[in-house]
Amino acid sequence: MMKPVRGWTEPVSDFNDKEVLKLLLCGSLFLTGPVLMASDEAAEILAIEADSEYGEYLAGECSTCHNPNASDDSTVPKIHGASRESIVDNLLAYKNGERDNTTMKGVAEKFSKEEIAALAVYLASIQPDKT
Amino acid sequence: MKLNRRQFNALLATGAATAIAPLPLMGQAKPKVVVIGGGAGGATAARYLAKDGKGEIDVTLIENSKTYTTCFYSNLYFGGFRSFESITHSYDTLASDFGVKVVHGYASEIDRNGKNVKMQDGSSIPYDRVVVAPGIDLQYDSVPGYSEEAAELAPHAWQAGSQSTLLKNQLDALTDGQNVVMVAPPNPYRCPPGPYERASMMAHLIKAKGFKNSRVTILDVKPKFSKQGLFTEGWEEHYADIIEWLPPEIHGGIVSVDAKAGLVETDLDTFEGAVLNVIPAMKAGAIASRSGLTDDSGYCPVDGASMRSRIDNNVFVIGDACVAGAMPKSGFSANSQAKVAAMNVRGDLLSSKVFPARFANTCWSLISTDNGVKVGAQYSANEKGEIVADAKFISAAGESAELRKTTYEESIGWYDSITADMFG
Ligand SMILES: Cc1cc2nc3c(=O)[nH]c(=O)nc-3n(C[C@H](O)[C@H](O)[C@H](O)COP(=O)(O)OP(=O)(O)OC[C@H]3O[C@@H](n4cnc5c(N)ncnc54)[C@H](O)[C@@H]3O)c2cc1C
Repeated sequence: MMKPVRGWTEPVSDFNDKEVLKLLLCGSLFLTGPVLMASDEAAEILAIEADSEYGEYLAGECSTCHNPNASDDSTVPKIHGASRESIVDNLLAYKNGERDNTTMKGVAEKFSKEEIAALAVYLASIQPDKT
Repeated sequence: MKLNRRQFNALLATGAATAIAPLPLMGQAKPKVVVIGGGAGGATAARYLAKDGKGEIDVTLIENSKTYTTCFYSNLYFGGFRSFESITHSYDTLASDFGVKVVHGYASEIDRNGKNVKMQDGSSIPYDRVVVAPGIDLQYDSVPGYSEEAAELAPHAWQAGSQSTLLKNQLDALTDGQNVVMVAPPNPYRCPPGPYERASMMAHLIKAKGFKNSRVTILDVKPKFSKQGLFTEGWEEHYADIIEWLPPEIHGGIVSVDAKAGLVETDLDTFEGAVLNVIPAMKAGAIASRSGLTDDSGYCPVDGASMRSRIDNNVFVIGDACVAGAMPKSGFSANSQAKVAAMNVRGDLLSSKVFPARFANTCWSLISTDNGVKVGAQYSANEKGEIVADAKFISAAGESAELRKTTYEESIGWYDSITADMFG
């Protein structure tokens, strides 16, 4: 039997990281859940003129756990090459306590809006090797 | 802008010359960076310098060993969760894909006046900036009766490689009723939760073999330890009859170790172990003190805003060898510090942008199958250049099995990522 597709009824905060990433990658998260990309905060961040070079430096911190060339079933999701919207939404979800991985909460809480914007621009610009 | 010699010398004296006129523009060869030690700190620094320097920096990595076996996850090797091969890495990609000149050899001293690294084989390698990342050296004589020779019988396995395989072979040869005795080190040391994760993995192995009469006794020289509540909870649940932790109040102090006889004598009693795992006190890798970069603590003082040595502006020290304030000595910390150092070295040599330093650390530990815990924090440098913690977190007691499994799985992703971040 096919498992029902998650993402239409449950709140995103109930998902684990892998599920959220999969949904983000297929875009379905934008349609539902409390982490709507249309939130004012996300829109504000997406409108910031961001410094990609700063984003590159900040992203150094991500690479310790998020391998840019990770396989799809990696236990820490791939974030390099994800869309700006999904990076902003996810970091805000951690920052605002809607998602509860303690490591990511600590990371996100420390980021300013400008830093999230810079990180999103840089990470979205990466084309990971398809190896 | 054209400078005459007098103006240029004046700038040099203020340290501004490198910022205004990057070395390649002065009609010289590419600026040279030498990284000493190809571990969590050094390999990361070399890779980021080569990658972000985009061919404009000549990067040499000096590493004594041909391969690098990570201390991180070596405890999982003892527990049977990882193979030795899976925690051993090669320097080939750093050379082939990133253009790092990898020199295998032992660096004996830094001639800081001549800006040269002197190698044991008599050669020397010049630098404009040097990144020092030799990790730790063991102070064998901090445990009475212990020595480098004794470590061939009673391994510390606190530097991974042949010491790890020695300990693993001894553990695998254990029979029911034979005991393991561990002497745990004083602060500060690399990987604060390491001895306790190791005890967990040894007990896991004993349990998996179905032994009923073997114990793991930890003779600690500290009254408390990292993640103590979480380990104690896990030990009570999984290894109540196996692990015994004795603080100095109880054993009264280590009197002597006899590696041949397999005995550790304390004020309280003499403990016999078929396996003795003696972890002595530590200090920065020898090259640091030989080059005059250490202070009374045995480690290297640095400005946390850049990881620059407080003793020499052309030197950066990262990883276990430096005094990193609130950051623990871990592979994660070393990797994090390496990126800050690499950015500042590029700033010095290529006038590239330098952003405020930020650091992170998470230490995962495996207690039993699918039972992972973690502790970590974010860090920055204060106005005095000390590294301070901004946000901390730790796994909670009584967490669900599901969360513990997720935490362990997260560490697997981290392991793959950090080693890719180090070696490409
Ligand atoms: C049992 C155990 C478990 C651990 N678990 C974890 C963990 O889960 N997570 C974590 O983050 N950290 C962990 N650590 C800690 C981690 O291994 C160290 O903190 C980390 O390796 C420090 O990095 P480093 O670059 O300072 O030193 P190292 O990684 O030790 O690298 C130093 C390198 O320099 C070389 N070298 C030294 N001197 C010279 C010289 N003069 N010339 C040439 N080469 C030289 C050495 O051969 C070595 O390869 C653990 C440690 C232990 C012992």
